[in-house]
Amino acid sequence: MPLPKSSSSNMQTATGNVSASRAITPMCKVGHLLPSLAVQDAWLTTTLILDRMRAGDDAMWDTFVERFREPVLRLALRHGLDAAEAEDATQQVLATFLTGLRRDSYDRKKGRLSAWLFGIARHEIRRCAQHAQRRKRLGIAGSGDSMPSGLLEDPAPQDWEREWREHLLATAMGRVRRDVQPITWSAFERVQLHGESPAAVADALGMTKNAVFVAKHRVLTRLRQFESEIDDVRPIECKA
Amino acid sequence: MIACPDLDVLEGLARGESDDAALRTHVEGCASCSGLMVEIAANLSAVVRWERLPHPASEATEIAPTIPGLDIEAPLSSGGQGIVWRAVQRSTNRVVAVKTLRRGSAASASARDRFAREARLGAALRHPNLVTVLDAGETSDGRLYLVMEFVDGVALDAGPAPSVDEAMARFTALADAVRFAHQRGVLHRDLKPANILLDADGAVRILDFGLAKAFEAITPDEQTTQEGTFIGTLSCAAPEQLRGELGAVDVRTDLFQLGVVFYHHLTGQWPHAPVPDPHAMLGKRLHEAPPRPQRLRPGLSADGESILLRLLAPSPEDRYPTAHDLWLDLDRLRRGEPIVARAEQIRVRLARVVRRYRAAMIAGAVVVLAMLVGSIVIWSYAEAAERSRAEMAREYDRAEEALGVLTRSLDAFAIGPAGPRTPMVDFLDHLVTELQTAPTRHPEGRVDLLVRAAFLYARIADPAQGADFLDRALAVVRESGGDADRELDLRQHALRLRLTAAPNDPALIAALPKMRADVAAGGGESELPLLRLDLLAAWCRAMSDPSTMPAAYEDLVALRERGAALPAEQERDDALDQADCMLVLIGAGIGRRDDVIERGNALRLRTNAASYEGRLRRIAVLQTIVQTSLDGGGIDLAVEASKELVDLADALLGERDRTSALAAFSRALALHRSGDRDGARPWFLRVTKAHAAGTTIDPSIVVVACGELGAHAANEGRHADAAELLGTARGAAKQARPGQFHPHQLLSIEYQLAQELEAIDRKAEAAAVLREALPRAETHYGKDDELTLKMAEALDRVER
Repeated sequence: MPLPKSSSSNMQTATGNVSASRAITPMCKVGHLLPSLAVQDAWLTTTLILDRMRAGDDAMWDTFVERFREPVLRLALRHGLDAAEAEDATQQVLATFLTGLRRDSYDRKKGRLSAWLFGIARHEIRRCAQHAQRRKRLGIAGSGDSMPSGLLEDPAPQDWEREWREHLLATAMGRVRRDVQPITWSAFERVQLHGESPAAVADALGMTKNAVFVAKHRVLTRLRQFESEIDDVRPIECKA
Repeated sequence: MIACPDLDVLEGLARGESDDAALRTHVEGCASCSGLMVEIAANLSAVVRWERLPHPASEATEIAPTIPGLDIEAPLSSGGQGIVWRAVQRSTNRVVAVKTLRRGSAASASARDRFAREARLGAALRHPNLVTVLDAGETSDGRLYLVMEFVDGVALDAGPAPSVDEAMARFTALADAVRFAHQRGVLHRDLKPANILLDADGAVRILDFGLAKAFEAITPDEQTTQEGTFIGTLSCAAPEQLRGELGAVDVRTDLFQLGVVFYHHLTGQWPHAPVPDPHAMLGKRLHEAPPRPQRLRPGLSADGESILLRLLAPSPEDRYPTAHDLWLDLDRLRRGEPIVARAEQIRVRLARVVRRYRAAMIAGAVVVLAMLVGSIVIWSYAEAAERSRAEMAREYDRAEEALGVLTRSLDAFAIGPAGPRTPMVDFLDHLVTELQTAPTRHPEGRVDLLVRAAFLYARIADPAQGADFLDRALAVVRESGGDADRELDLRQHALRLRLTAAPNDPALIAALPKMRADVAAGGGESELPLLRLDLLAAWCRAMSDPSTMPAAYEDLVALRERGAALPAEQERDDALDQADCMLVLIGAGIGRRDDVIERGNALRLRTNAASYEGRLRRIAVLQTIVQTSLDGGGIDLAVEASKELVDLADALLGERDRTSALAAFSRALALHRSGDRDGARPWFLRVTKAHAAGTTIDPSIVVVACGELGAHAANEGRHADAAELLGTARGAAKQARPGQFHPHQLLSIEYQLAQELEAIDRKAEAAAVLREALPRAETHYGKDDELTLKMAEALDRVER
């Protein structure tokens, strides 16, 4: 598996700031693997965050920014904006998204959240890059000491798709790691991420081999679940 | 019927690895097992999907590539990015090196394009100390490759230990090569001993110049840390790379790496022993001074050591600003002349002191910092200025650096006009004079510096003086042949700064129509040949009646339409002015309040930058929101936004500032209109206090604040206070521009004032007020009007 060997700690704060007083979304119990898992602290699906923002709940703004700032920022940095420009562009992208959301131009049925964000981000990053070049030419750019960026192309959909997928996975991993027992996570990490044999991991952790498999699938199922909840797609259906 | 199997068995079945008929029958018939199967299958396919995300390729065995025109012979070496092959170019029979990049990096088409483009950028560099890239492309089996000059040599750290002189000569050659590439806009970003070859003649050759970005384009996950992406070896990575600050990587990053390479070459040790964790490495870089190289290599001169240590400064600002400066110092050292790095060490030490004061600064000791920053800058500049005119060209870089330090310090410490600033102002004065009299070797650079100095000056001292500096920059542009767009731009900026200083100066307002005509005629590359929005906004602010400024008004409507059609297109600063303009349009009965409030709120979300400018901008946005919502939006919004407004303005500018006073007034109005008159009064009081302390505040505001407080004092029977406040209100009302007040407002203040004066037995003053006011009342309302009659009656009474 690519990406974080241990789920990143900054991801944890990125999703962990939701105050416990906010409403808890009931978790849909998937199959037979999760019956014992309680929701340990409040977690808001993206769908819920968007609904609340649209309804005028400004408190959701911070949660939204925390959740989606990173992929946009990385895309902007990847396309040659300097740190300050990229931060500005990211703020602008998210603010534009919010305006659109409140005007109901984001129709969840027609397109995915990621596609919509990308549409805004592509436009904004190009604009910022042009703006930065113009400022540099006029000599009024902030520090004026960064190298001129010769690359003024549009961010490519593939780049965005990758940033987005990585972000979903990393965020989901951070979240799941907080939710499950440390031993469950270790079993998953060693078998799935490090490719150790289930039997050896079972020995090392003092579990049965079956328990190792249960742990692995428990984590995988939750990863899928969080991934789709962050992505604002239809949640995994509960089976009867 | 068999018992439910373990999960590993089910997983085997889901993977298609086992095909046990009895098992399959069981699963089909068992609700529990078939549920699990569905889930396991979904998990397995998710894993496949996740694994398709790019990641470091496995160490697959590489086969020799097929490249047209080349005969690939044998692999020479294998490294992080790929394998280097020895090959012969058939047409010339020349030996070349081919680097194939690892397969399996899921490079997208655009990434591959970028790779080729970056590689070509590197190919444009020809220098005796750089290994030239000859070609780049993609093999038929999809591997990316680079063709390079073949250098028969070894990595720098593989050769025998050099003598100090030998080492310094190599150092100078490397600095020259880096300078050469930097001057062509190419960074290396991954300088390390393995990337520097020592050829058979003992010459140093740098590999992969300008290719870090190309490699990064196609192998984004290689050495990705959670803190950000950087390609580089930890032992050579600069602090800004270890932090993952992609945007902070610049020429000075290469200089740091060059310093590390050199330190290692000279002493055989790393300045900081590498550790595998970027965090820990960063800690070492920031907090551990490298062992003095002179101690490790006694033959090294003190100057040589100074140069090396300056390269290794943790903060880019403390390193040489350019590779050219490094090369100059190395060249001076070779010729036995005094070097700059020694003088810099003192400056750097001072700068560290400043940084240490930062916490104190934030607590309020702005003075100390401003003086320190100012004196350091002056000191370093004065030191530089002592040198001969022939070195003037170099001084531009130093002046530029000084300006950079100044700007960054101002940003970092949020020093605004409120702070004492004499040393900085002196410095800018000095700088501008120097820039003007300097020989015209770099007119373009001179204009840039003048413009930057002008904006800084306008910010910390006097906008009008800043405008004068812009005029000087304009003169330089004209002397050096002229550039119509630039001239127009500078002229508009100068006018804008002057308007900031004197928003109501009739001469400046009168200059606006002409400027508009010039801009329209000049056209230039702006999308619309219109005046700058901030000028339009100033025009609007200066004249309250749109009918008296048809031209500006017309442009505003045009801009508004454009803005409404393309909200995302707006530049941020423009959007702010536009909100301002919209206020004017609303005043004229055009435009929707909702628009302003909505746009204002969107802007508010965006302007939470940590910089001084960002916060100023946020204040302006909040001011617009409050004003607009007071004029007819929600009072709740006005109350809420004004709270943030006063907090921000007080923290940033201090209570005495004009903008803070305005913010206090907005807060007062918002509370007052929401019905909380008791809550509003302290804020009105602040306005009157600021006014009394000499802060320039629009008379109309003083009238409202003093009028409200005066009326309250009168109600409470504090007649002396009331008389004083109403007297102030009357004085301010008389200063207001005609039309800013309804005559009735002044008259009712005067009537109330007279009553209060009468109550405390200052009848002569009351009579004077009434005597002066009565004729106006008669003119405005007629002799039979109620107020006129009351005033006449009161006058009778006090005169008696």
